[in-house]
Amino acid sequence: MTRHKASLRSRWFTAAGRDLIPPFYLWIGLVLLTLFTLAPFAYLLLTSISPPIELLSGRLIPRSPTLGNYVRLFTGAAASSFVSAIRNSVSTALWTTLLTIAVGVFAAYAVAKIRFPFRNTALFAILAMQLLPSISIIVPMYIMMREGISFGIPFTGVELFRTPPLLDSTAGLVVAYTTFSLPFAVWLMAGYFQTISRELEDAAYVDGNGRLGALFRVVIPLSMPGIAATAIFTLLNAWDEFMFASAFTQTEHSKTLTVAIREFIGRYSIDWGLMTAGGIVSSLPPVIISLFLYRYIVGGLSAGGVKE
Amino acid sequence: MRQRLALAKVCAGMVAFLLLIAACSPAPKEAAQSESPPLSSPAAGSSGSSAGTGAGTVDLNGLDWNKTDDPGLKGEPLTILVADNDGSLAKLLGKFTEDTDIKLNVLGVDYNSLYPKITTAALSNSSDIDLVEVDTIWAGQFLEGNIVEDLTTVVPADYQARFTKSSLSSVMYNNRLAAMPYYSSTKHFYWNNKLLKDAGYDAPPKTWTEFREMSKALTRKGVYASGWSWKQAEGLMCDFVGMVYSFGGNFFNGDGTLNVNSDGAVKALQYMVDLLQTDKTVDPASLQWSEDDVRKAFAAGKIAMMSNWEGIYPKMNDPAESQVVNQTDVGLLPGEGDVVSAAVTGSEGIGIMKSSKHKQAALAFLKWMSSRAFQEPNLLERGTYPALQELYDDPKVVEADKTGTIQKIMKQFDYGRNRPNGPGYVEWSDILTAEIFKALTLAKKPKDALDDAAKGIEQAIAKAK
Amino acid sequence: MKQSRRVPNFKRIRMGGGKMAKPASGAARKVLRLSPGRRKDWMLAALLLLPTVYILARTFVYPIFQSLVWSFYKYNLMDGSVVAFIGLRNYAGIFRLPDFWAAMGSTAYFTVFTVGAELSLGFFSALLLNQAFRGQLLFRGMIIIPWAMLTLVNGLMWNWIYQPGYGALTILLHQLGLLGADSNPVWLTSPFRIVTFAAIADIWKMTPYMTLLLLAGLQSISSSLYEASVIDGAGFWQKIRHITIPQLMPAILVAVVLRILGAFRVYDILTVFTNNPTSSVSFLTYNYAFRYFYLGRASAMAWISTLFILALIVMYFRLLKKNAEQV
Repeated sequence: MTRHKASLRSRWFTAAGRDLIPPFYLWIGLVLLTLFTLAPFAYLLLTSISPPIELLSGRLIPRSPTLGNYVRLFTGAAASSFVSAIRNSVSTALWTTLLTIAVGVFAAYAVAKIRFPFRNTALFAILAMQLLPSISIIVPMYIMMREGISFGIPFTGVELFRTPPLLDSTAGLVVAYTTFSLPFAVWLMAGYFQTISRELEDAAYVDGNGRLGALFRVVIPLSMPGIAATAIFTLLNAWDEFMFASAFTQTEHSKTLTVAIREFIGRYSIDWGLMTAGGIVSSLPPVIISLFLYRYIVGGLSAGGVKE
Repeated sequence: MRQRLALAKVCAGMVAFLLLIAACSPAPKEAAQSESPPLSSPAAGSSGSSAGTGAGTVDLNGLDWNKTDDPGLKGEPLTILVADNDGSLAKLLGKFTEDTDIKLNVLGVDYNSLYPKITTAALSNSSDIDLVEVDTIWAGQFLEGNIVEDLTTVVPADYQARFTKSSLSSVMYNNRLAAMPYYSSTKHFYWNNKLLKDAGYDAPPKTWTEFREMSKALTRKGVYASGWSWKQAEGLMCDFVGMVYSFGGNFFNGDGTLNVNSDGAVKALQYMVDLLQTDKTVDPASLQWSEDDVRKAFAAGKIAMMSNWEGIYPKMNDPAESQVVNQTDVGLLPGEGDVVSAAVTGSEGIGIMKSSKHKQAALAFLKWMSSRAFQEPNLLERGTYPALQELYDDPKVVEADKTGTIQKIMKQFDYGRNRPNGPGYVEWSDILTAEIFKALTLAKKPKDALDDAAKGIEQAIAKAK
Repeated sequence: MKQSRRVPNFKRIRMGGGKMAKPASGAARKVLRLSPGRRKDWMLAALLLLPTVYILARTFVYPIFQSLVWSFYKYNLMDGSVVAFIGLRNYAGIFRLPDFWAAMGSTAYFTVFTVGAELSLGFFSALLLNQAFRGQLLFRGMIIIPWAMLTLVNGLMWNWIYQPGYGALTILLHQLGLLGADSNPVWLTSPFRIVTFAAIADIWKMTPYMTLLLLAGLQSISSSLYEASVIDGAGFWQKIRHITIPQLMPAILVAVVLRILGAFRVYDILTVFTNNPTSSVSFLTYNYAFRYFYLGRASAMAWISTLFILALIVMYFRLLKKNAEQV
């Protein structure tokens, strides 16, 4: 009898051979982790379904939950700007991701697979660009957007083409976001490409492909998870960006969700029900995407970019 | 050794790259100088030049007061940026389109978004916005920064005389008119009669000393004597300005220079600190509150007295929104010593953006906005006090006032005080409110805080030269 | 003499990995013979890199260089003053600005607090999630939720929690009996408290990121090491100290540096809690740039933060190298 009891207790309190944490502490830890992670979010949700009168009464769980806040969100005075903000956020994020991946894939391949002179410089430059604070670039970029980006032949001052002023436009934001996403995307994708072994590429060469053929037929298909992870990171970062969006956008034409939420907070500063409802709605896309594509995100974080 | 070589190569590569970029970039001076012309030269919209494409003889970008009724303006699109928290203003402004067929697009935002939006629009060369709400504190900056049109000679002098003195002076800087007066506003004193009676008082305090004494008796059983909008923002400045004048201080020296640490100012700040930290009769959440939060606390019966702008009634007597129906009243803010009362003005105007492409139509709007057609319903339907003098003397208006508060509120305008609306105001206000906040949180003594603020503002003014 | 010595080094660096002797380069040569020519390779590389390099040069490098130039000018967009070259006066002015040092101090405090807390919490969460148990995947998915939420919404949520009187924090403390029934503290009064509470919000959001980074590192530690240590009689803490942490060092370093850089740039979340620009360097710079439009001074301020971060990067590389040499 005692031996049974002892073994039961020891089973709960000592870790199995390959494990680190005894089961008892593991489950306590997990409970705490769950509480810490989900409690604030649950509170946000509960607040958004509380009627306005109950919010100031000091109760955590509403007695008469209602979807009234959401209804007001989509039909009230703020509705049109909120909806157009969602539209702008979606289009900005999608275009940024598309552009970044399309342009970055090539550079990533070059950095990962081709040994060219100044390769180390390029790697260092990419790393440095990721690490510089965006605040140092926002001022000249503002002026640049204001006058339109000019494309010309360097050294001669000849201007071939000048875009119209890009402030308050989705295009301007996409350009700004792409600038920031490119270094990180190139770094991440290059890390994935490096894991594709040389033999696979050589097999493609044997089949008569050149470098580009190998890129399209072998490397990219095999790195799909990595590219997907990069795309997700780019998308989430573009969705969440605030500083540039608030400096560059003006009207509903291009205002993204982050700016709209900020103004929402300013405008309805005491209407917590409406604000939390807006918060939940604007956070749903990234949360849902993250939950569904969780595997890619984890894969992305563990790849860790270029190693050599 | 090899690593050092690699590092050297890397550095050399970066330097070479940068030099390449430098070589193909236009010299910064040129790029920078191209900024000055759009700012300092009279914009291509001065009266006389015709850049418009409208039909008829009217110059769409001119500013001719006599042509504001021209039918050639029909169908012109206009965009106006105003503070409108609940959409009621947008509805009222719709009448302009009905009356004149000029399409008005209303961008309603919260007050705090106005300034960044206006400055961003001006400095991004955008012509998206034609008309903007101009708070009195921005008048100087918008004129000096060439953000709004100078209306001094555009609006006839006899028309300007139709406004109350307070509202007209609010939108002027250096004798130049930055905007057409839009509404008058000042802070008022509100109190809860029931709470006062429960504490044994029949009448509200007339001086700040009385206020302090009464506060001690009023703070009990979960209720605070007063709540204020002392969050570190412009609202704090407004309260402070009123207090300073109450205690006999002045923001201007005899020669017109700015003075933020006069004796009156130190006394005022010390009084605020005492109320909050020593007596503890002020709801401590005031340090996080805006004027809206104060109003809410007042409506919930959590504070007995408050200072706030107009527009509180009739909502304060609406059972669906307030728990103190018919218990409250409004009157003059307390004074001290020789000063009967002092309150800060918050009047505003509407100005025409220098970068607008529809200035004539915008002028037509300003004429309509400053006439009875707008000012009267704005008062009767929205509780916003007009800039037109004649409405204050009109007995019909007093009759139509169902809240019964117009006459009480109007008296406060006699004691209104303007904030110094020089071009650097936004920065001065930031510096001053930061220091005041430090004093309120006991991080600094009031005198030190105000002296530091004075130094900071001096430096800012010097740097701007 | 020197030149002939340099050339072999160059070749070795290019081939990747300095210590490889002849056999490796021989193999590399064999591989290169399969792909169509080295020179063609370099041209292809240049072509592939061209769009990226052009975009980055035009919209990143050029503006950064411009901001460096403007930091030496008096360039105020709004007061109509003349643009003038003033050399280092902007920098001198900023170093003398008490607001700047307040912002630096606040940012440093925020960074140390958040990275420290995220590291500890993330470490233990990673340990928990690394262990094999039923429903492991569910938990791993769940922790992503805070990270996926919008930063501003996160700020809004915590601001609501901190509301005096009816916010969750006050209610909870009352219900747990930790707060007297009458006391109704206002949490966000002093700048110090505001930054602390904003930091808590940021920690909540970014700990999952740290957890996942460390989790990836943990998964590469072979369990045979732990089994061997049990034979030696190691308890939980000894295992952590002697096996887990040393093995995890590279991942820890990467995670810490990434988070330090992220925390130093904090701006978004602070705007929800306060208007006080001295709560972070980014906030102050943003205010100078887009509230007062002192573009010259703002550029100088941005560059000072950039140099500071560059110094951190250099230290990071040194640490990495030291770590690589030790392993």
